[in-house]
Amino acid sequence: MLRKYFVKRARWNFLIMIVPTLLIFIFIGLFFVHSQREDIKKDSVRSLQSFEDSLEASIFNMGYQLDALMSNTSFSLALRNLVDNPEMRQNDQIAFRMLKYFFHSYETSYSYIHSIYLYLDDRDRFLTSDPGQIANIATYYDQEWYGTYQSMDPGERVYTNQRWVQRYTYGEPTEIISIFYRMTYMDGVIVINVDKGEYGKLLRSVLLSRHQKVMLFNSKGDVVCLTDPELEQFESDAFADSIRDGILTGMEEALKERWVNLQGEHYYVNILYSGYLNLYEVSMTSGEQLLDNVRFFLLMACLILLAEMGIMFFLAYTYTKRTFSYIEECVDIFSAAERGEALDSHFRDSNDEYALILNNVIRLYLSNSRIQMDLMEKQHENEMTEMRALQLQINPHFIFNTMQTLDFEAIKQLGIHSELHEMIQQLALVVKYALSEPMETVTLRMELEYLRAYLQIQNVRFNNNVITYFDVDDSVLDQKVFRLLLQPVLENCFEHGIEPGQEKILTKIKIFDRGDTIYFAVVDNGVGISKEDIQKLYERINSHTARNIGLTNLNRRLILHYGPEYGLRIRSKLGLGTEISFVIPKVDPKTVTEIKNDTKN
Amino acid sequence: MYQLVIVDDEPKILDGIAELFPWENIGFQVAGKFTNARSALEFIRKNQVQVVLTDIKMPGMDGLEFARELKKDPNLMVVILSSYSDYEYMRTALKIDIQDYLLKPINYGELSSCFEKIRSQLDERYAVAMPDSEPYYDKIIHMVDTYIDQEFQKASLALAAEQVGISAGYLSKIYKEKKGIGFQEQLTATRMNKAARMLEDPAVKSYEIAFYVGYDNPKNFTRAFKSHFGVSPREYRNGMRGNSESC
Repeated sequence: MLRKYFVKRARWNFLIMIVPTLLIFIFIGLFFVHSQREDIKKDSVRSLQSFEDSLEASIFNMGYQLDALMSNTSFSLALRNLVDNPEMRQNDQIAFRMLKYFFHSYETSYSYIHSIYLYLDDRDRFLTSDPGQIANIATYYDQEWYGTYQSMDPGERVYTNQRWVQRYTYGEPTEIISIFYRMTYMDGVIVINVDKGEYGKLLRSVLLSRHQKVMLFNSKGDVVCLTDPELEQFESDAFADSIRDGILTGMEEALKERWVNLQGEHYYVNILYSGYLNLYEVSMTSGEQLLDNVRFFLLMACLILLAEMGIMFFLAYTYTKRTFSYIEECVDIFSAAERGEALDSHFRDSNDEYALILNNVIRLYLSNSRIQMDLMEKQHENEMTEMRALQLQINPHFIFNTMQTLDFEAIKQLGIHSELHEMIQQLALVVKYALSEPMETVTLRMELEYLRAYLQIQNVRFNNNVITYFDVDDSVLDQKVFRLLLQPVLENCFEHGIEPGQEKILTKIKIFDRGDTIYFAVVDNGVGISKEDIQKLYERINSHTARNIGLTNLNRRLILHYGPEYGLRIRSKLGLGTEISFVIPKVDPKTVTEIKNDTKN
Repeated sequence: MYQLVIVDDEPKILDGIAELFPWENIGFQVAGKFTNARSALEFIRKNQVQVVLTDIKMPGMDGLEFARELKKDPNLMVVILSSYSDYEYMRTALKIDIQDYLLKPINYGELSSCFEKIRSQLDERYAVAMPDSEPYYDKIIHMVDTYIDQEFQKASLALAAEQVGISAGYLSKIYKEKKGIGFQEQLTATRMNKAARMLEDPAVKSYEIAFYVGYDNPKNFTRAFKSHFGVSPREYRNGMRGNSESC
């Protein structure tokens, strides 16, 4: 039973301890996740900015330089002459070589450069870096760019798109990105073709995290470049369409800085417009970034939590154990008190609240039971004093001298063998016995001897019709009992149990050895007692105020001497008879001397 | 015969002790009886007295003072007679080195054994042997046998001794010597024979028979009956009936 409570209590203590810890952990965790998300936002912005910087450095600068070169009149004139006249002049030759040199240096220093074209409006020839020559649009392998340039919005300075070129019919087509850069000082265009695969690699290396990917959209909302081939899967789905719609309607701002769920994965989306290349950079940071950042923290937190739980379990266990050891002590003390064992007046020298409570309770209990016992003993003492006072009212000398005189008179008149002489002798025995110290103990043998004398007198009184049997175990004859143990019960038989005119009075005295206890019973064949009257009799013998000297006094003496469970028991049947019984322990709970001292004090 | 003086302030008791107890049977003669200690003392000083039996509570000189005075002669034997509650007196008395004490009302058995003891002490001192006469003992045995036959229900060795005026121990001894069978055995045999006769009457209940022949525990009766006759009372009774039917 206690074990069940122990488990319950320990669990409760553990929960109480773990709850604040868990709350702190959850709070810190949420805060950490939140700050990580903020970091992702910041990172994506920072990353996009550096991305744009590298776009500028890698491509825009090239266009800018070439444009600046064209603002030089000697170069622009040379270009025009070269395109218009197949025959090259000396000066043009130099410019042509210089331009070819520029192209060459770009192509060698930037591996992603596929080719560069310089075209002046309304010509059908242009300068190309691949190979360094003036080529005829109509015969050149790449003609698509011309159409794109023609359809370019006149207000647009830069336009970028993605397309395929095939230099040789037998070769593999190459995916390139073309940047159309309108010349500032002349009517013409600089087309820079970039190898998409190579360029993608370059851009990827710029990004801070492997979880961040960037898609580039041109002003028409077409995807121009991806930093990661994985992104191809989104190129044609609703996400790309929504971005495209955003760009075309100028509402792309509304689409940035938010989390989207794409094919079961969360991405943080940010959009930055790059004015240099007229491109929209769409950054997508995977939620895994968050996981990556949080993973270590989570692992650590879990380990700490586990350790903490272990400690708390230990604490809860020891605390509960300590509490229960107190409770067990309480229970022991209370059950000891219930059994009526002696209690230490002081429970434990300790400053905790349990000791305080227990000490109070014990003190209260002790004083209560002491008061109760005192009260009972006082009452008993009073009765004994009264009895003794009664005894003393008649001078024993007077009684015994009178009996002596009567005895001699009887012998003189009726002879030594007269019933009267016998009766006087028995009476003397009875009176001597009755006048002795009430609480002095005697052996059961003595008590029975006395009882026989008493019965002989009763027998004479009832005209020799009292038959009494003694069914006594010999083993208990030397047991110490207090005097007048059975006489009140027998007296009750003769006073109340007998029907008027009843011929034979049968009584049986049973005294049995029951190991630790001795069983006493007096059975008669008298009128018996009804159930209601038994109840009344019980009430009377248990009442504190009853003045009945016989059974009440015996019952009180038994209870006071041996304990509450040793009171009288009555069984009866109307017309059949009555049995009054009780049990006493062989080992006296109070020693005789104690009782004597108590009554004397 | 040893000379005995009895002192008690109540004349009735004094006479009773002197006259109703067969002093001669156990070798004493009442030399004098007094209601006060002073006259007794005077008498004792003038006469040859061996034993004094005195009450303890008397007007004038009380029993203890008297005893103290008497014990100035160490050869004088003193027995004190007391009421029960004079226990403190008794303790003092025992310090004065009295011979014995008796409680009122006097129990004949106790009186006999007390004075028999005193007599044997006196016999030793004066080196006298009791002149035992055979007719005297025969008379005692006869009285006891009659007693047993009549009073088998309540009979006891103590009561029988009281009857003949000697102590129980002494009676037991001489009874066994003269009859060759113990008092108790004789009593049991008588009881069993009476019981057997009563068992022949089927109207009388077995437990009543037990009670009437002096057993207050039927089990003891059954045991005694069986050891005497070899059969239980029930078997005995059934046997009787069986016999009567066969006749």
